[in-house]
Amino acid sequence: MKEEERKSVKAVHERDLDKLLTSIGIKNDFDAGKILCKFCKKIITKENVYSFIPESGVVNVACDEPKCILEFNFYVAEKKKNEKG
Amino acid sequence: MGDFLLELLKYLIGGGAPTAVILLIVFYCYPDQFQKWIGFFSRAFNYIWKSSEYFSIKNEVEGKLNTFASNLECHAGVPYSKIKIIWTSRNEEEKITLEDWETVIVTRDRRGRNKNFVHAAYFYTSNILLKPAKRFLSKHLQTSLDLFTTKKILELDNPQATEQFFGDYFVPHAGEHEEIFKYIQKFTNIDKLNLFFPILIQELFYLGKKVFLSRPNEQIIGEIKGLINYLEKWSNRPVGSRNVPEEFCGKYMKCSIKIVATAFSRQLNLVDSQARRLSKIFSQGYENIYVMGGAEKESKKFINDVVQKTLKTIPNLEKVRNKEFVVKIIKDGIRTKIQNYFVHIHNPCAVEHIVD
Repeated sequence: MKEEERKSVKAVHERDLDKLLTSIGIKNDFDAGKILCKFCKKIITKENVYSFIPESGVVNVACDEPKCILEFNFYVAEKKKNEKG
Repeated sequence: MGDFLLELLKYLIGGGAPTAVILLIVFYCYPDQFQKWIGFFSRAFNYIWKSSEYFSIKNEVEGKLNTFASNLECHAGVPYSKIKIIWTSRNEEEKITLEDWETVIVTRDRRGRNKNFVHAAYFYTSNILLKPAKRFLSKHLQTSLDLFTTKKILELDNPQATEQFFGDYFVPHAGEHEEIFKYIQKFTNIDKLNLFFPILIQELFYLGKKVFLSRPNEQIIGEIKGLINYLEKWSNRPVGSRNVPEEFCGKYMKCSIKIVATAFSRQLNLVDSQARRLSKIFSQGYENIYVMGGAEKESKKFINDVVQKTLKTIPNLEKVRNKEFVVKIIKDGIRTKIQNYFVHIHNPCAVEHIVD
């Protein structure tokens, strides 16, 4: 099997979330309930966090509401498309 | 794949060399299936060994999704990208840097197993598998294609998660937007014959590779809708009906479905005239012809003779795929399963890579 045929996707296990939040510098805001879902503006918690999206130095976060996951996928696809021109 | 083998060997320590050798042989022959089953069995260890959870999530998700991609590739001729999950923040010493748009997906422990799989399947379908095919689709068409394909993955490989997917994603979105519901109905119809959905994705994949000098416009969207209608008509076509057009002739996509091995043609051994029929279509600038017919020995031989003759007549043609599989045709008003034979011929010379 050719390795290049596989696209890498980063994943974090929920038990490693603290480590990730600290590394990307949003742990305090996250714990204080200041991080909101990029799409529905709901407060992000450890129970509803779905994905992190780094964008121009800022890390946006999406919650696991199916509507937001759909929006997230569309958003990422569009942004990548636009970046490539 | 090196990482996977290393992980696997670590996991098998104590299992004995013969077991490892047998497993490695199976792995070599059926990598995706093997990974899927390793993920399944290793779940049992999650209760006693926490670290095995990383191993089982990774291998179950990768194995199942990559098996689906391989099956799709087998039905069509396009190589589909597979997925590789990379854990982040697992080790204390790891230095975490995230590039722009390098998304990180959160996975749950074993209680959220179905959720993990639904999320991963949807992410994979939307962002990896169908990405090249969706370049020119409208937002609702993209969502419909993502939903329908994810549903197929789950039904095939994780029926337990299907219910969750239907409740969370499929029903709310298909019900919320009439257009999404309409497309899903069409995809369901196209998929009824068990052949044309991979053809649809493949045609969209070819389209996605083209470069447009001007910004893609409504005409492309209209053409994609036309292709969907064309395949839907074919899928709903009763055996013997001549009311469905054989060609789909758009500005950006040109393909044709041909049934060459009718009883009449076979009895009179009309190989030359059927080959001329295919050659004529290719000479008109068509990019793909999908040849279909019964899979019985005589019919299959006839189809192969016609295809060979066509390939000899036009040297640049490419036989992408030939395959036998079960289709559900409409005969006397009832969907009936039969063994079918299918050959996809591609004409690379007809492809306009840069479109004005």
